[in-house]
Amino acid sequence: MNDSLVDLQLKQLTQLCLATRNFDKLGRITMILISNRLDEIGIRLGIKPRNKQQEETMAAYMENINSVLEGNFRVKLFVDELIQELRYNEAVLMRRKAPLKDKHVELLRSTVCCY
Amino acid sequence: MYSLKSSFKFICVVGTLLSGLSLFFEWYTFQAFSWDGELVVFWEFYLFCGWITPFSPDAWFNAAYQPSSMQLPVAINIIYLGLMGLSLYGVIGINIEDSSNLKKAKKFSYINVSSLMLSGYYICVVPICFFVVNQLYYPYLTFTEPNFIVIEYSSAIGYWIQCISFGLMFPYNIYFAFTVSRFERAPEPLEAKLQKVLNNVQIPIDFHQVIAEERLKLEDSQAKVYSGRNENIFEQFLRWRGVP
Repeated sequence: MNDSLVDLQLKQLTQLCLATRNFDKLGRITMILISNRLDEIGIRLGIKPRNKQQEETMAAYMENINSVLEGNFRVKLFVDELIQELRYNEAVLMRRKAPLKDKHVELLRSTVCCY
Repeated sequence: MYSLKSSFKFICVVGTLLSGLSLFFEWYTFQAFSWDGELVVFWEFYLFCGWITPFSPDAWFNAAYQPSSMQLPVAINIIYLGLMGLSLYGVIGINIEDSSNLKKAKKFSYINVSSLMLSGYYICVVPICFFVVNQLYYPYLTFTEPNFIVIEYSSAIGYWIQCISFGLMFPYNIYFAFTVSRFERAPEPLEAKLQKVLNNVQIPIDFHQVIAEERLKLEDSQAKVYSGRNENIFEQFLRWRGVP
């Protein structure tokens, strides 16, 4: 999908979700976008895709990519702060059963920034 | 590897030549011997000429045992010879590995496969549909009649040369056809392959649907505000009119 089109659609969705206060949907869509982007990065680098059946987290997958690149090229693709932030956001957004509230807007902001 | 391929090519050429020559040999022999071993009946079948006997027409015993004539179409023989000639030209003239003219190679691959199929026709269809149907047994049978006449039904050298030539032609012709078909398929670009893999792995998002749902929710919530106002106005109107 065209990246600029996705960005535009995400921006539209963000505005609408904030207006309707449907934070769950925005959080889930953003996490799916991050998951898809990570899969693309992994496949293009020749690393096996994230094991969704075994519930491999996105943070763990990013660490895996980092370890492979560090081993082969001595390059780190994802900074540790980003991985930690995503680890926390993923735990809240994907595992939380209760709907998100206004106080979680900052969480959503950081998730969209991760993407 | 190259010498192996050139050997198969040479074998294919030999097979093609033999296959064409086999049409001119006898394909079936029907003979009978008397009780003291004397040859009393002898008929040979040629694809172009039909049944031929060395006995004179006066030999009534031989004539009595003449097999039924078979309407084997001669046109197919002529078409087959033409195909063999073209196939031979294709095998000798075109080196499929170096060939840059794929269209020409493709035409000759069709000719080669057609010649193989026609060869299969001569090996399988002709015996079953023309000989066996007329009680001329394949490939060999000896039968003693009650009057001690020994009858021999036998496929002849033409048929066996055709079988051998099929085996000789088959490997190189099939290799030729597969190579042409492989060259025809354009290699898939890397990006297209990657996209296929990604489509299997990624979770699809229908942004249009999601955005439309949120828009509807937004419009609904605004509409509720407006419909509340409309009801108030209508109640005011009823009070003004004095409706109980």
